[in-house]
This record gives sequence, C-alpha cells and structure tokens, in this order.
Amino acid sequence: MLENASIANRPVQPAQSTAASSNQETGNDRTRRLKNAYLQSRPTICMERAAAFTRSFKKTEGQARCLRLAKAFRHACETITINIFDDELVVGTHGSGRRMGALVPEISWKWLNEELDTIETRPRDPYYISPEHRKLFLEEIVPYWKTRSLEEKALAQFPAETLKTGVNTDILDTEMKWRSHVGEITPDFQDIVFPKGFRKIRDEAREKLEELKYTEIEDLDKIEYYQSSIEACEGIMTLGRRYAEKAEAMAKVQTDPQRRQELAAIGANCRRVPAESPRNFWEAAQMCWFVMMSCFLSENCPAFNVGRFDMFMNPFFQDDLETKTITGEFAQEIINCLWIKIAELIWLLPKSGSRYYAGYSGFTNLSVGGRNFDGSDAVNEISYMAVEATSRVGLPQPSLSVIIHPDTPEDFLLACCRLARQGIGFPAFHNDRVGVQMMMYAGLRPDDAREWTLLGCVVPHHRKVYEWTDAGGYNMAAALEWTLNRGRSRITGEQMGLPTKDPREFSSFNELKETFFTQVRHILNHCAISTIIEQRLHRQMVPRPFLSLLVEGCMESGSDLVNGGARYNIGPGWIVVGAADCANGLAAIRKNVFEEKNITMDQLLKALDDDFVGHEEIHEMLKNSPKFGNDDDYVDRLQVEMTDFNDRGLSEYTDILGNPFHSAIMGLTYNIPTGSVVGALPCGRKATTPLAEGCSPHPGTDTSGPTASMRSEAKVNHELHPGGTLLNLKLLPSAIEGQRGLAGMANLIRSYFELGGYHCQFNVISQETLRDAQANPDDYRDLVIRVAGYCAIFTELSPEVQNEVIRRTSHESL
Amino acid sequence: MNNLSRTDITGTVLEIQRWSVSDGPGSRTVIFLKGCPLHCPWCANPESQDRRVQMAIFSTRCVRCGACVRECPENVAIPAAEGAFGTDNCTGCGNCIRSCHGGARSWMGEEMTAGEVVDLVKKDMVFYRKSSGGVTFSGGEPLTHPQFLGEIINRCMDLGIHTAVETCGYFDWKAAEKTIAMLDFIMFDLKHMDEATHKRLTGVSNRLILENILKISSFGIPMVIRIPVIPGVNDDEHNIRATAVFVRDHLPQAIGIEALAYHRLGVNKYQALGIEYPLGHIEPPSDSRMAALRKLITDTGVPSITADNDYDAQLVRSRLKSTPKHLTKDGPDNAQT
Repeated sequence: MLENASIANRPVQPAQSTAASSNQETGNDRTRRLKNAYLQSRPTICMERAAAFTRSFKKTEGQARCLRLAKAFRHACETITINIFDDELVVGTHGSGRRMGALVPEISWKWLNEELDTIETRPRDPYYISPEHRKLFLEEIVPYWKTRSLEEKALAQFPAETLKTGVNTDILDTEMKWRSHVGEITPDFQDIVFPKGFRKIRDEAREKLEELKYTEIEDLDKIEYYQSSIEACEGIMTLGRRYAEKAEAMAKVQTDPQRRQELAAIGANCRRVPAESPRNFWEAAQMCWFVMMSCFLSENCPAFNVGRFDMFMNPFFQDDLETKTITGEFAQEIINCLWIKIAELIWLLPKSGSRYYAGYSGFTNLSVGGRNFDGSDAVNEISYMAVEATSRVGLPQPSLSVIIHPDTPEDFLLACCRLARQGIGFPAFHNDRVGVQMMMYAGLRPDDAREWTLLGCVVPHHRKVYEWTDAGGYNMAAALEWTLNRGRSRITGEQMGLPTKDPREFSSFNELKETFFTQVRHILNHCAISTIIEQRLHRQMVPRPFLSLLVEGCMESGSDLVNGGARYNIGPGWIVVGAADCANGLAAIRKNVFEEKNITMDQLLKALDDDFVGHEEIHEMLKNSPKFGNDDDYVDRLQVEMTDFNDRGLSEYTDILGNPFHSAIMGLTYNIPTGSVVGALPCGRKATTPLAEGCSPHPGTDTSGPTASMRSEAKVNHELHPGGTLLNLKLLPSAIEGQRGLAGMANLIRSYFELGGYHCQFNVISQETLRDAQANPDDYRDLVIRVAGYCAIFTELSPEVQNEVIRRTSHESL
Repeated sequence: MNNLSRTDITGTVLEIQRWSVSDGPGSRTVIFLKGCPLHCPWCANPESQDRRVQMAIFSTRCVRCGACVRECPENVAIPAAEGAFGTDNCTGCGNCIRSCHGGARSWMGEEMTAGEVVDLVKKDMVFYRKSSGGVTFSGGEPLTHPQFLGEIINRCMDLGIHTAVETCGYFDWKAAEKTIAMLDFIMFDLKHMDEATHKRLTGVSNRLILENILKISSFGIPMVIRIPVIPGVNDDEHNIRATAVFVRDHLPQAIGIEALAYHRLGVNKYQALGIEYPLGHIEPPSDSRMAALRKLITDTGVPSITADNDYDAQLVRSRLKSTPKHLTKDGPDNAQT
C-alpha cells in the first residue's frame, strides 16, 4: 500500500541538522506517504465505541446517568483497537482504523437500521461497514438501545405541530440535536489540560469528593459528578498507557533503526501524556491529539475545536529551541502528522444529515493569529508553521482559521493569502474586531473575548464557553412562499405556515413584508420549542463527563456542562438559510408589483405557480431585478432587515439555562436541501433549486466584483449574529497573479474587515478545472474545495454540490 | 454640496469596473471611456472604439418573448435570437432595449456626468486606502475626453484619490495638457516604433504619440510603458529592442516596460457588435516567449514590469523577523537551516 521508500537517516531529535535539503525531503516524504495512506482509506462505520458503551451500560443499570456514561467512556478506552501506523509521529485512533465514523446509539441508532443496506452506495458521503460490525450492530446494539435513544424520546415529546414543521421537512432542521451529539466545545489546553495533565485533574476530583457527604441532598449530584470525572480521567489515562505499551512492543520488533528510535520515542511520549503535563513540543502535540480523539470517542459529532494552536504550542517550541532539542523542520513534521490525524476525525451522519453537511467533515477548527488576553498581537512562529502545514498536507481538515486584526503582521497575512491562492479554500479569514464584539454580545468580558477562537466552520467561540452553536437551521424562503400562498407549500399544496390573507389583497409592500415576518416568527417559535425539549432531554440523558473536564467551571462547581457548569453559558444558535432569496424576492415584488407596477400580484403568483414556464418575460424581469451582493441599497437594506429580524426574533426566547437564543447566518450545504422544498420564488429562482447560502449573495447573482459583494455583505450587522456569518468569494487564478494579486487579496481582506465584515474565504480555482474534476474524479483525488465555510475533497461530493461550487460567481479581473 | 459649484460635464462611459489589481498601483476602479482614434485589430474592447453609444445584441439571452417587437415604433425590431432587426431603419430610440428584461439587447456606453462617475468611484474608498490604490481611466482613449476627464480628476484630487490613465498617446496635446498635469500615474502604450508599420497596424502614424510621450515625460509624472505583445505583428526582437532603447534614452522617469501578452477574451464582444474578429488565427504568446521578450527588455537596461511588481514600487515587502527560516517565500525547497 505504501511506497516502500526507506526512511531517510535523520535523527529523531536532530539537535544539529547536517544537510538541510535532505531533511526537508524526509519531512515532505513522510507527509506524502501518510497523506496517500489517508486518501486510500475508506470512510468506514465502526461499532467498537457503540459496543463498548452498550456492554458497559448493561452493567450499570440503575446508576446515575453521568456515571454510567463515564464508565462507558472508560470501557471504550480500555477496549478499542490500538493502532500505530507506519510513519506516524503522533498516534491514536478513535476506532478500528483511519477514517472511522462511530455510531452513538444513546443518541440515535434507528436511522442506521433503516439505511444499513444503502449507506455504502448513497450519493452523499457513503460509508463502508464490515460484516462483523454489521452483525454487532444488529445483534447487540439495536436490541439494547431500542426505546432507549434520545431520538425516540425527542420525537415522542415534540408537539404535533413541531413534528409537522420540523421533522423531515427541510423547513426546520431540528435533527441536529436529536440525531447527533453536541460537540461544539474547545478543550482548554492553556489553563487545564497542559498545566495539569489528567492525573492531577483526577486527583482534584478526588479531593472535591472528600468534602462531600452522602447525607446532604445537594451534595448527591456533585458526588456523582466527581465520580464520573474520575472515571473519565482513568479512561483517557488508560488509553495513553495502552498506546505506550503498543509502541514499546512495536519498537522491539522493528528492524529499521530509524523507525525503532521513533517508536521508542512515541512510547515514551505516551508514558508521559495524557496522564502528566507535556514537557516538550512533541509530547504536547501527542497530548493535543489524545484529547481531540477522546472527544470524538466520547461523542462522535462535529465541531470539537483545537482552539488557538499557536498560542498554546509556541511556549513548548521556544523551550525546545532554547535547549536545542528540536529543529524548526522537525517541529513542522510533527505538526504535519498532527494535521493528518485531525483529518481522520469524521462525523457519521444519516442520509438526511449528509445533505446538510456534505463532505465527511469533522468540522475540527483550528485557529491561529488574533490577539492575546492583554490585547497584543498573538502571531508567532507556530502561526506560520500551521499555515505551512495546511499548505503541505492539503487535506480538508483541520479547518484552518486565521484571526486578523489591524496590527496583524502584513507578512503573516500575505503568508495566509499565499495559502489561499493555492486553491484549497483555506484559511478562513476572520475579523478580530467583529469576533470580539460577537463574543461580548454573547456575554463575555472584553479581555476573555480577545482570546476567542473559531468553532466548526465560522462560529466565534471561546474555550471557557458551553453552547449549542448549531441548534438547527431554518428555511427563511419557506416563509416567503407561505406569505405568497396563504401558508401553503407551493410544491405540495399542504398547509404548513399560518393561513395569512390572500396576497392579492395586500394594500402595500409593507403589509406584505409584515406578513412575511409573521410567518418567520411562526417558524422561530417551533425552533425554540424543539430546542428546549432537546435541551431538557440532553440534560436528563446525555451529560458529558469527559468533556466537562476540559472546560473551566465544571470542576469548580461540580456540575456538568449540560447543567451549566461552564464559566460562560451562551444560548443556542439557529442558522437562517435563504435570507438573500427573501431580500431579493421582496425587492423584486416591491419594484415590479408595487412601485413600477410592471406586473400585478396575480400575474406574479401565476408565474410562480407555473415555475415561470410560459411566463418567460416575467421571469426575465424578476431575474434582472436588484440582487443582494452588488452594493445596491435598494435590496441590500432588505437583507439587513432580514438578518436583523433573525436576531430580534430569536432573542425573544431563552433556553433552559436562561440564556437568549441567537442568530447564525452561515449554513454549509444547507441551501441545497432547503431549496428542494421551496417552489419558484419572486427573485426568479426556479422551484427546488438551491437557495442562497449563509449570508452570501445567491450564487451567480453578485456580478459587480468582489468589492461590491463585500460592501453589500458588510452592510449586515455582523455583531448581532454570535452564531457566525459567512461570505464565500470565488476568485479565478488570473485575478490574483503575482505579487500584485497577492497584495490585492490581502487588501481586499483588510478593507472588508475595516467595513465591518466578519468572515471571508476564497475559492481560487478555474471552472474548467472543476468540470474536468467532475468528469475525471480519479485524477483529482486530492482536489480540496471549499463548500460554504468548510472544505471537502471535491470528487467525494455529490454532483449537485459540485455543480453548486461551479456555479458560484467567479470574480475574474482581467 | 461641492458639486453644485461646478458645471456637471458629461461624457460617454463604456463601463466601470471595480477591483482591478493590474491597472495601476493597488486596488483600482477602472473607468472605460468610449472613443479611440486607433483601430488595432487585436483590440480586446472593440465596443470602446466608437465614440457613440452603440447597441449590442446577445442572442443567447433572448427568450423570444416578443416585447421588443411590440415596443418598436418603426416596426423593425425582431427578437435578438432571430437577428434583432428586420430592416436598417432603426432610429435608436432604445425602446427595444428597455423592453428586454433578459438583457439580450443593451446599450454599450452611457452618458454620465462627472459627478455620477465620482459617486461610483467613491464607493470603494476603503479599498483604495488599504491598498494605496485609486481610479484609472481607460478606454477607448481617455485623453480624447480632456474636459470630462479633467473634471473627474479635479474632484478626485479634492478627495485624495490617486488617479491614473491608460493611454495610447494619440490625442491633442493642447486640449489634454491641463488634465495630464493633474494625474498621478500614466500607463502609456507603445504599440510599434516604426512609423509605417504603426500606421498599417493601427490606422495612424506614431509620430504624434512619440511627441506626446516626450511632453508627458517633461512633466515628471511616473509612468510605465506598455507593449501589447501580438505574435507575428509587433513581437519581433527588433521592435521590442527599439522600444526599450527609446524608453532608456528618452524617458527617465518611466519605471519600466510592461509587456502584456495578447489574449482573445474580447472575441464575444465582436460577435455582440456583429463584427468579424480580425485576428482569429493568432494564438496568444507562450510563457517562454514572453520571458524571452522580457529578458530582451532588461538586457537593454530597462526594468521589466510584471504581475510581481507593484507599479509604484513602493510597497515594502520585507520579511518579518519571526518567519521561521525554513519557510522562505518560495517554499520549502529553498530552505537553509
């Protein structure tokens, strides 16, 4: 499988490298071999975690839920396969192999039972499942979890109307938190994991436990909480020990002296971490990985974030340089190896969910740049090396984010632009000023807010925060359809929204717009209902003992994340999809029906009913009405109104911890499934075609160049949306050639951020290349493309997602 | 407020393109003005040559709705997909364009006031500030609109916006002199050094052009000389060398020569105007050919300007000290640890 290239003779810790160029080659060779092995591995469903949880649960009936889950986690750590692959410097898998999707049956298993025969061949994100694991699933896992999953309880508890609007409708995607676990945290490497190590964390829990009495009712929950903490610590320490033993055993039989030395060093690393604090860069990287993979072992779900990698890794690097125990090149190699491990984290999804989150991504965000707690610039050597690792490894994960502020060194920004120009979609550029504002709006102190990091694709986050950043997504375009069809779907005719008045009777544009907002409010109500029911169930059924160890506040308070133990708790975020289609649609109606009176409402409705067939003139008129993304206030102000409303409407509700709901305007590939249930829209969009994604213009309608797109986008009040906003810009390579193009790109970013934009990302690639990749997928296995805020391997996307990427407006400047 | 005190001169603007990084320093808005005294067969903007507003037809956008037929007072319009006009008796009233919602017919060129142009230019102020960019006037030949241009540049000066022109050099010096004096940067085309060849290729002699470039040179405004490299037309070594020698010996403040490779991206515009593309048989020059010509230029002692040079050459690109040594600009292969 691997090329049998001999491992070049480089010392494990080259204090003084001799021939720099040969070292360079060695590092790149290792990266290339590991990447090839990664690309050849098939995404596979692994039942090891599910089996361990099931077997443990059978033995713990009657005990407190948090303790049962902690024991199950520990059992998984004791029983999962230990894998150390050729060439690896950082080791560990959360399943039986490289790219493993692990089922989490305590949340949901039914979908897999239904899709078992089709999951290997489904169009989006197919998974392989071996006969043994299939057997395990059917004979051991399903029988135990039947009637015991969170999914079953959620669906039984939703009111009828929420079920009707919010389950399998593509109007509300409530699935996110009853089909999947939560994820959405960032381990606190700086203040907890690295300085303490899990032995000390365990001992802290033991000390806390000693102060508590079984005779005090208020102590009982805490006793169980600390007991669960101890179990979880024992679990991850066991994992380290098992890896140490494996590496030592492999070193004994390894004949290649170079690899033998490496394995011995890996063994020593795993003897040390994660039980104790790391002492050097390599140990720190191994510890970072153990924690990340254990997150995935405890919950297979998206958006476990590495956090500010440069900030917490640089001290180790500097110390090692000082003592001459590492070279820059070897540190780079370790980082590259860690990157490939992170790419192994994939999230197992049902068919329905795979339409929303196509691309096998684990949404493991990793941030560099930004500012320190005291406000100073945080860029260091590791920031550059992180950018370099993504450039050399070129896989869709980790999701590399850079935080830019006015004093970010120009050189670092240019290094990031150089990476973006490679055409792999990374990094995502984020505006420090707006990110900090969002965090403060969500309740953080300004100094804490400065250490913000990125979560998932574009969500501003902090390692001391517990939140549901993606409680779900809703389809705003459905509300426009209902407004123009008395609450009925134009496709099925079914009454889905409120039975508002006949649109022919609207006396003014404002009356129409207010009716639209009434329909949106109706959707938001079901968003809130579903989330609150789900939150209550999560609190009852799936506390998070391992993850609570990683967030400040839980140990101190003796409460789990689900009970508000974290230092900061932020309310749930709901993602709006199709805002631009509503803004464009309302602008087209205002212009053509109410102001210029080019057509009547009746003519418009007939054209929509017929999907514009036979109404070509009206269709052209609507298509050529003002569109968001062209710096035209006529429509841009409506987009601002849509997005502002999303904030106001959601923040009327509070969650079970008492925190207001908040708005997110991003949306991954949400725009495709949500578009499939909406008929023709007054913006000229044909029935069932994709909607606009996130906060971006509708694909193909922003035709005035990137500065106009950015100016339109910057009109949105980004700080009102702590769930993140997203702008994707596709640039053809000819637009950004040479040093001029690079500086042009950097200046675009700085200007957009000065205007108040939050995030932007560039797709630098030619449409021809993309079409060719569609036709010849085998020739483009490593073509990484950005799909709405995250990256995926292009050829692994379904044709419709591929077409979506191709269709996005290209800003070519000639 | 300021605008009221000035006469609002109008001009024919072909197009305004926002965000260009290759038409002068930094990020720029490019204003294309209509009308050019030269008629180069390789022109990528054929619709810029005629000073008048023209109608363009995009037959593929036509949905045959028949609105143009209904709205035409002369009864000459037919759907664009069927040829656009039945007879030649079009009076240019524009009803058919206004009625066409699909954009199958459009005016090429629009009468705009200087104030309207400046309002559009101002939109991207932030982008100019961040990049030391500004506005560039192109064409057509912008210096054949000296008053209109002068008025816009005047207002840009008030706002602190950097201004530049792209010129073919063929214009009336007396009329344009004052406008030129206000410019910050000039991109000057020298298409051929030989007078007879120049006349054969472009329809005009290069004598006025060479006179004008020397006069501009005496103003001391920074400029770059551009040669559109058309294979088999003007890319012989003799011409390139002669151009470089002229620049070296007579244009002390020129920052260098920018050789621009011929491209065919204007082809569909010829179709839209109903003109046959005159250079159909010529392939764009290869990268190696361009490199050889650039070497010829530098061998003559004149800097060659490419996409790797910012025009005003003032952008400091010093490497930051904290950059790891093995991460040099050209990537890992050059690493020296």
